[in-house]
Amino acid sequence: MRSETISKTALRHVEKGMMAANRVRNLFAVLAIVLTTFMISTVFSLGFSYVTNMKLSQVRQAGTSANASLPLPSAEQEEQIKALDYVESVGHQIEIGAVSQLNNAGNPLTIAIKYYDTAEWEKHYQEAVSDIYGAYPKAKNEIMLNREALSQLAIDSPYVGMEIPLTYTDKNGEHTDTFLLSGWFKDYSGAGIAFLSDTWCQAAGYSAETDGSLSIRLQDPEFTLTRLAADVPLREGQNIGGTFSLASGGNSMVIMAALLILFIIASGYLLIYNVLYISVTKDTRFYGLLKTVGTSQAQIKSLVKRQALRFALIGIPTGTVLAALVSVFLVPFVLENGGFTGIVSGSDAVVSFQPLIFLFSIVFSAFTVWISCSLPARSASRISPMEALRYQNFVPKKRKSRSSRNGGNLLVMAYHNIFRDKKRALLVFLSLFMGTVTILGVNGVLGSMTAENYIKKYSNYTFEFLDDQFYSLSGQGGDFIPQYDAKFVSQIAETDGVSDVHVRYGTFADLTFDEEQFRPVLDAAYNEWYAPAEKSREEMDSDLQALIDSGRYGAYIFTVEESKVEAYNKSHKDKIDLDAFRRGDTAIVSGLYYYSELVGRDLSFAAEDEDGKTASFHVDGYWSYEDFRNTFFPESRYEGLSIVAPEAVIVSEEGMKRLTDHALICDIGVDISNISQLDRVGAELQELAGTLTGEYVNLVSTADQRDTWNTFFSSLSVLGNGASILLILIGLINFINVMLTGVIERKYEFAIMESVGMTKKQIQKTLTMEGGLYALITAGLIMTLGNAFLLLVKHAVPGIADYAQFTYPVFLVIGLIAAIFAICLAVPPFVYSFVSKETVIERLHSFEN
Amino acid sequence: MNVILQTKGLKKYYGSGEALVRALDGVDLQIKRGKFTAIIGTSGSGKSTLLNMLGGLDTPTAGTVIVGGTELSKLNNESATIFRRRQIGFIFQNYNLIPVLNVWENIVFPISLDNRRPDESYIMQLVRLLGLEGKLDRLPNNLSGGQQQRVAIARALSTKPSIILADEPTGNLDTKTSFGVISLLRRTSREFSQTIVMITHNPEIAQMADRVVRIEDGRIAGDGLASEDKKVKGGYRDEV
Repeated sequence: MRSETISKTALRHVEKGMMAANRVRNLFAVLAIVLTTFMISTVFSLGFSYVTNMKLSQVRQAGTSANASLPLPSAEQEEQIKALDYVESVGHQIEIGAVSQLNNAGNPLTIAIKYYDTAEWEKHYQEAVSDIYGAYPKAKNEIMLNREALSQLAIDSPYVGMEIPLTYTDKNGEHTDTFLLSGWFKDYSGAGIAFLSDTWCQAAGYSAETDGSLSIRLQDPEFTLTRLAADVPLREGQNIGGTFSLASGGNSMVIMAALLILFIIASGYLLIYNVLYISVTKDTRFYGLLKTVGTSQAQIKSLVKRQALRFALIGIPTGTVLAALVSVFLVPFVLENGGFTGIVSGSDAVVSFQPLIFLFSIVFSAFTVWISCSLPARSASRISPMEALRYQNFVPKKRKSRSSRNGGNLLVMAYHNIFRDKKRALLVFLSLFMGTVTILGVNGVLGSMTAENYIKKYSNYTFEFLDDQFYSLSGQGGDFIPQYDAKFVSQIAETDGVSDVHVRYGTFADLTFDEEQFRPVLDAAYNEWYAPAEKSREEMDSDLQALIDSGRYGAYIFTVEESKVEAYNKSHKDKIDLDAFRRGDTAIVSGLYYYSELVGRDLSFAAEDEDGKTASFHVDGYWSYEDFRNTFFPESRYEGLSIVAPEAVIVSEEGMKRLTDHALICDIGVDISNISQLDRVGAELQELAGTLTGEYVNLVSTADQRDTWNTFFSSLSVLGNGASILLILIGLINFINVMLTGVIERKYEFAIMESVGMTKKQIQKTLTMEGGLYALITAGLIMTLGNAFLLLVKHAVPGIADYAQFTYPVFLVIGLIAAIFAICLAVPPFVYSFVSKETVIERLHSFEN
Repeated sequence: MNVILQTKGLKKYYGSGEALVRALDGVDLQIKRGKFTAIIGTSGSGKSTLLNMLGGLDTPTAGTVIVGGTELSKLNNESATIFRRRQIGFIFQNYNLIPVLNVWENIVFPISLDNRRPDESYIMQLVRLLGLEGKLDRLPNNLSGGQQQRVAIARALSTKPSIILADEPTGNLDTKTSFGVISLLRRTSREFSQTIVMITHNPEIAQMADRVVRIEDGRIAGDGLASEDKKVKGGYRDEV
């Protein structure tokens, strides 16, 4: 027992001595652990914040945390649903009606009146709103409003108990009552909402069973939503609705985060391992000596591991504290100062400081240190005394010969120097490569997720002036009043920052009904709508006849830019004859799937306006909902008038002229040259819109989309770029460590070279070439494997975000390679100038002694 | 007289005051072209310091070293290195071969540094003389001590320098190999009319040289023909 204590004390002295003799190594080892811990903690912490904010954003955008809904539920169905083990909570919603009064400007208010039961309010809705003041209404005359409703009612300073006189419409008709404000809150729907109490509903005869719906929160909704539909017997016409997640790329995000964490751990491992491995190699003779004097393998192992433990005891807490500081101070700062005004941004964003995450990170870091020191410790313990005595630092170990005659060439020598210790070189390449590839990958993803791409995907144009008359189901082309004119279009075009203006025209035209032509459409419409409702064919024919007789059997005719038709032709097999379309001879029908039956037939229209003409068009194509709404008319909300007439018929401007010379401008699309000017151009267009007198002028801006995008992007950007920069830092530290230790270990060798006539300049040149070769090989790896990885990123990008369009980060690649070259070329001669200050003979003696 | 190397009042002092160490204390020495000279002395006598001064690896506190008419102390670091590369060949006790270069590359290394092509027939002549045929592709760590030292000798001879300085070239070798290496040195000295100055503490090895210079306490304590040194202890002639 006593001898054990003595040996422990002796080993501690040795350990202390080793620590004192290896200050540079200690610094690198601690730095490596600090960086690794910092990165692991930060990625976990920011990742958690990101996921939390993403979920919050989804809930706020959906307006509920429930995943499914069932309209008009029976009590039995509700009981069945509540009994299902994968159902977390169930709430009631009732859509009561709407406020039916006008504001001071004489415009109708848009405030929906609803009722949510306690479960719905507390478990599903409160997550989707914020800044709740007061409480949900209890008494019959109490009302709760969201901020939008307060704003519409021109209430700037609300207070609990405030009288709110309202005229509203419900299923029983129009009423005027004075309510007392029980509370208010902020939501993110953009619409006005008023909540009434359970007491009010009971008094007015509202119940979920007859007027409302169940909203249901599920565990693992992706899997259980379909189960729910199967587990609950539904009445005819009753469907279970699902709330679809915004995060189409949720899984991709998780994979990306997992990859990032894996890269960080691997990079941290490489650096810590390399520092310790180099240290053990350097001390080979010393460990051999320890063996000679009787130190056991286990004792040497513990000697190395105890040193790693010391580094960890300094590095892990430092890294964790730094990460905590970043999580608590830097992230909110970035979020709040980024100018984001989206759904979850600025002060709305949730910053996660979860002690558990930090505990988890500490465990991960400790694990990394442990696996990093295990191999070097084992190597140290296995060094044989004889081997150690013969050992020369940094000498090729395995290779016995090389049939070369040009090794004296500085470049060739530099090359051989790099690969003297292949493992060491490989670790540097891997480390530099991983850092660089992560930066490229992350930026490849981030670069593909630009505000421009987001807007392009979700909006046809940056701004759109719409004629709201075309949204109205009641209106017809002939009754429409022009909202925009050519002068207005040219004013838009002259606005500074506007790059393109696209004008679309529209009118309403009567369609000549030809039963033969329409037979396939009528058959399909009957099977789709009337048969399932157990209605006869005669009933459908009678409805159709009534429509024809009323003079409302027709379709909206729109023009479309030629580029949209070209885009369609590029992505579809059934091409549209562009020349015929341009000439105005042909048309494209759009709407429900069965209108494709009209392709190849001729349709006759008569425009419903003062100048209306009759024209026949050959139907050359059919655009589905996806083509029409989502691809070519994404902002379009035109509704079809009938299930037996196409929702929209698309023609060229020439085609439109065949019908009327007075088609209305229904849509002006405006694109801008630079997304950063969105707010300024938006304000100018708003000002321009103010000069119009039309009551159906509607300017739609993509600023909201941009803000939503910014919200998602900001935390992702901080997370990805931060981690990448740290990863490349790890790579560079690894390189600097290898060069530094390599130059120090070869100090004697350089002295020999100088003694036989190699000048310092030549040595520096060789070292610069070594650095250059490191950079060249790393650049080669980037250009081959790195680009292959970018190719994978390119394929993965659409899965991460549907609007993302991959752009090769050419400037980043050039910049990174240039930076790697600059650092790799500068570091080695710089290090050498430090170690070569002594005279040749002093350096030769320092080794011999 | 064809003197290739000359020192005048060469001094090297370390420290100051009471701790002053006089490693060399006024050495005047002349070495003739084509001769093999051994410098002997006890440990700490100053013989290694003298050799380092002769090779321009160390700078004297006072005095001059002139090699082939060039005063080494007047050269800056860069020029001294280039001078060493072209005019002086070194052979070290530790062989000091470059581990990443094979035997051939080590031999021609000083020539490569000058961006010159080696005279292959001359190098092969050296290789044959030193018995290194068949080992030209080997890396140094796969050679025995004697083989490594022979490579070091070939390297020192490769540039046809004015003088070769050998610092205890047999210090790490067994007796048999040591005599083999010195015989080779002697042979090359004769064959190529090469001037060699060798440091050794082994009197038997020193006897194989043409001349033996004894250093004691930083001064020349004796100088004479090796054969005479063997016969008459302490009775050295001033000049060879």
